[in-house]
Amino acid sequence: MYSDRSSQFSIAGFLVILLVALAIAAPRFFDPRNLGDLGTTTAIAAIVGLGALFVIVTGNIDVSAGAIYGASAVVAALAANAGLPTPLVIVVAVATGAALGLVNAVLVTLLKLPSIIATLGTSSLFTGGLIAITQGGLWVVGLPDGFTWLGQGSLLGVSVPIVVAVCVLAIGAFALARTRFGRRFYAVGSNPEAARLAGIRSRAVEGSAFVINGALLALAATLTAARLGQAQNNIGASITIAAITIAVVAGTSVFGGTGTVLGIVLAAMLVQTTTSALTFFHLDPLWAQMTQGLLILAALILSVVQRRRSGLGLVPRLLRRKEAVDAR
Amino acid sequence: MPASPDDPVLSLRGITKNFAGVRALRGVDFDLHAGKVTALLGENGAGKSTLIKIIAGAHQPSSGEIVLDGERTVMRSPHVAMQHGVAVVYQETSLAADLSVLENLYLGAWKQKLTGIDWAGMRTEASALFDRLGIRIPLGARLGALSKANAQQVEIARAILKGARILILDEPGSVLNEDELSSLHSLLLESKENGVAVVYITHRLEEVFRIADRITVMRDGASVAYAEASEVDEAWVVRQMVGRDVDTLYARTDVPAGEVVLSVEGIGRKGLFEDVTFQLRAGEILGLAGLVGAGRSEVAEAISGLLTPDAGRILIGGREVPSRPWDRQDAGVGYLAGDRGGQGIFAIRSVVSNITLTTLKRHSRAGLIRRSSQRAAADAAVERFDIRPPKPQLAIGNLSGGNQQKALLARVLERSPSVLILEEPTSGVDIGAKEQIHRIVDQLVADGTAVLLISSDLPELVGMADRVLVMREGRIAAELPRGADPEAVMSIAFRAEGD
Amino acid sequence: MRAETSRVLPAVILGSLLLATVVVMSLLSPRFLALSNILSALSLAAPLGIIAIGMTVVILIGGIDLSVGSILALSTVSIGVAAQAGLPAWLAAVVGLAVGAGCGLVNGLLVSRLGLPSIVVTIATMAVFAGLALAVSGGSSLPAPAEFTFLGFGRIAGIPMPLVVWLLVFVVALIAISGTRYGEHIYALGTNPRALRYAGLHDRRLTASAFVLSGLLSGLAGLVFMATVSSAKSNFGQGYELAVVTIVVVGGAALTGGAGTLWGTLLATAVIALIRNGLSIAFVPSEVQTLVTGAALIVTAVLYQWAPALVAQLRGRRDVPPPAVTESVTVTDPGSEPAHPPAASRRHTTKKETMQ
Repeated sequence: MYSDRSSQFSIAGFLVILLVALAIAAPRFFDPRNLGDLGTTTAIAAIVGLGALFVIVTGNIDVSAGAIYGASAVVAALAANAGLPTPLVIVVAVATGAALGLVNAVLVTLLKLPSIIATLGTSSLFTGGLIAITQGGLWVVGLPDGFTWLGQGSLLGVSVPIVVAVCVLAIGAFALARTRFGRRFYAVGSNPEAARLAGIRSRAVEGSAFVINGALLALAATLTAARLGQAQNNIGASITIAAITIAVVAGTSVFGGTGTVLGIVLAAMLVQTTTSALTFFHLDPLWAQMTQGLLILAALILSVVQRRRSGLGLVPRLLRRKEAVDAR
Repeated sequence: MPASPDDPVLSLRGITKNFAGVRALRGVDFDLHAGKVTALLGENGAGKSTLIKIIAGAHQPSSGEIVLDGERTVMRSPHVAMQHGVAVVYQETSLAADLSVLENLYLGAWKQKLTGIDWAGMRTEASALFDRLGIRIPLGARLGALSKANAQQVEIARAILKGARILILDEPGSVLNEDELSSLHSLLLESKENGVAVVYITHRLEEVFRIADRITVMRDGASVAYAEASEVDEAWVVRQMVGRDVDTLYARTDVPAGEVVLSVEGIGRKGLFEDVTFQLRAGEILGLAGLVGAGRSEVAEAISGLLTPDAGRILIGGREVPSRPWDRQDAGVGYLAGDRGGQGIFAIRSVVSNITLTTLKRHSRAGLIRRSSQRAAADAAVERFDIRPPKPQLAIGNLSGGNQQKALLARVLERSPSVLILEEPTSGVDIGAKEQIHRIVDQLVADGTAVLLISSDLPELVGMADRVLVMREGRIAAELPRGADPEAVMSIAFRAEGD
Repeated sequence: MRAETSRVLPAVILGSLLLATVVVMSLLSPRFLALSNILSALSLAAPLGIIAIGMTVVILIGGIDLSVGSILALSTVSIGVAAQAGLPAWLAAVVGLAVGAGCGLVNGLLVSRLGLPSIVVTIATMAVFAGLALAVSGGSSLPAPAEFTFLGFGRIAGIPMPLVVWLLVFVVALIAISGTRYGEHIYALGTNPRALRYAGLHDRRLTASAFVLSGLLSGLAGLVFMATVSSAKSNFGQGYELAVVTIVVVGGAALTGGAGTLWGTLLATAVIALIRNGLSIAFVPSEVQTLVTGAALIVTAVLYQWAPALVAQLRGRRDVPPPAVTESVTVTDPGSEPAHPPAASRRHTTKKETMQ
């Protein structure tokens, strides 16, 4: 579709410009080690972005992403330290993330809270709850090699997180483009009334977006814990905004109904390269967040300009109303 | 299953519908036969849309029954109605704007194959359908980017694809040109051959006689006439639609026309209206007639500064005023819009608040609102317009439609406009209140206000207005004097181009 | 709409919440009910209370401002830098307020002129303003001018200054929102933005003004906070947006706009302040406090959402429909004609079906 292609071109364009600028200003950025690291973090960011895609496509928002990420990372680290085999660690972590996502799902679909309120609440619920439950299990270090391989090892010459990300993104892309399950997200996001009339259970779809987001965040967090060899509870502090940045820059409309996995991948590359460049120049990580904020604004303004130029109606929906009385 | 092919597939008996004290439908009987197109005609406000919504399960009748295939059926919801094979194509599209045409056709019912969604299969089937129906829209196009006409075609195609047995089209022709109309009609002929019962709501007479097998006319909430299309003619239809006695000429004080206060010079806005020119003088009422979609509201919005024309200019009191609502209102234009809910009332705010919202300055001292002054103004308005219940502290959403209307009128008049645009001022208002409003308008005009009256209530229009402009498809088609025959107005309003 | 129920119920819920808080907290610790403790607790919450007033106005018009914490931070470091540059204390304070208003203006323009959804815009500006705060302060802590001591630690008639400032702001805001043209227009804008434009009022200007107000008050809160800690650092205000939104929601404002009062916000601030205080002096760890805040938000939101329907059911009315949820994505259509009017007006078509 026109708008998807054009936003993908824009992102790719910016990425190229950025890479060229870096090649000129800091050629050592392209050291194999640095690039390898960049690839890994981009892969993990793309997984996070995919989760955000599901939620935003259905017209909601999840600001508890960072809390879920942090909680899952700690759970994974604790599980790994407890001696569980790595596959089981992944299962435990992902289950945790999915469960937390389920809490969000219930609040939004069954209790009908606006997603901003529900996830603002769960954000502190999860964060506070985790600290309280683990009673000091805030900083887990010295993770076993069997586990850290997940984040630092490689398969056939490609780092493990990249392999995992490619698989996950491929599955996600397939599901969203070629399965009924996936297409429902777009239908519900674009016009919940029409979707309901067409027999789609809108609430279930919205709820599953939150669960999927939770699971993906947990997977990403596990990979990160493995990569760093440690897990802190506040590891997720910057994740919420990173997730939204990637989703918005990818061209996902904040009103729901559009967004592609390819866009997510490109956006993850752009955002991570930017962040990595900042670190390369020894700048405080807080600059990364500011840059992300600017990227969001730039992407939003660009989309407005694009719409005005092509004469499309602006803001067809002022507010989205989920009728409590289902049409069925 | 119907007992015999002559039995109607859908039958409505004695359907009534009340909305908070207003009777929208008063005992409607309506039959639909498979394989026939029934045209449903009636003025704005006759109850056609309400009837359709009842069939489609969007409203529940207050009394009466729906008989489908010989069995009593309750259309509990739009979804249930769909499952019974009822498909409605409204004027506003109810599809997913962000998705492709192809996907919208199969929304909720994607075709599957082993390895996921069968896009190729869907594309093939849809292409074939489009070819058969003469629809030339790319399947990959984004629905939101399509013109209204094309979006409508997609909706109809979708209904056919889903095997609808009863297809209801709400004013489909209003957005189509000649070619598109022909395609639509051949599309409907196809459906007829497949046994679909079609309800075709329209105002355009020549469409009626081209496509309809039967004609049902509604008036004031009841079905007043029913005939085979082959047995009647245009004149008959018009007579049935207008019907009531137009003997009472609305009492008007004779006022010599004053200066020109509003001059509209050749304004146009792409897709909405074109080359509209007229003048309005102090002390006169200019009526603006026409069907929904003819461009009347848009012209009103242009004068009020809510819409900026691409061409032409508008002079208020001889001067050009910027096209912004606040500037136009400051210059003396007052606008009572047609859509109370969306454009007028602040439902959860009190009546006092609603009436005085735009004139708070005069009730303020040192920035603070003097509530007593505000309340006094509201009380005066309540009394002047007989707003009921006379408890202005209530939220306006609690009032009936007619009383809300009166409150809105009160608000507009608080600013003493010199040019007053009234759009459907007595819609949903009872007879007694109607008369009150007419008297008030007459007095205003006698005192020198210039009024642009937009109304679908033809007797009101021809009775009140000094002259009537008839709009059709975005242009002014004719000008008629006071006391003109409502049937004449109606005929001009919906005769299509080329007649 | 049963006007009586809709106004009484939130008041009852809020009142009960306040009562419950006082009871629970005094049970947790005997030191809770001392006047000095209560005053101290409220004074500590003054910055939150001031910001919450601004946030209430933004939520009243149907928007949200998540950048308040960052605006607070940016204001404080701006004051610190201005003071270091030699400006007299009062002028530095003005700089802080101006910075706050300026940030609010940025938010306001993005939302009103470009029609961007306030939720995403303010998430973005939250990050941008925080980054600017870091840039301005260079990462270090800046000292507050000596003249701020009275503001931070002084008392008037036994009441701590921060509390005095908060109450003053409250009174001014109350007058403005409940007693002036501006207030009436704000409520109307939140109720029906389209109708406001049709009524001939400046919908976009009004929208932007709400955000400017929020920014200004965030700056003022920063000033007060800075005075109480005698310093300015770029990481102040983190997490404030959660606390303030919690307060406003607990206070009964609806995210859809048009409903909510400053009194509700005031009471809710007191509730949150007392909860936090009660928990601290009972030595409940801070993470549990965070947890409780989150739980309070969710529980109260659910209560407000479902209570009217529950009450109606108890009264045996079967015709009252369950609550409808509205997701507030953006504030106002900035004047461009909506492409799909039914969606826009659906929000304002109440359960009463309309003719045609």
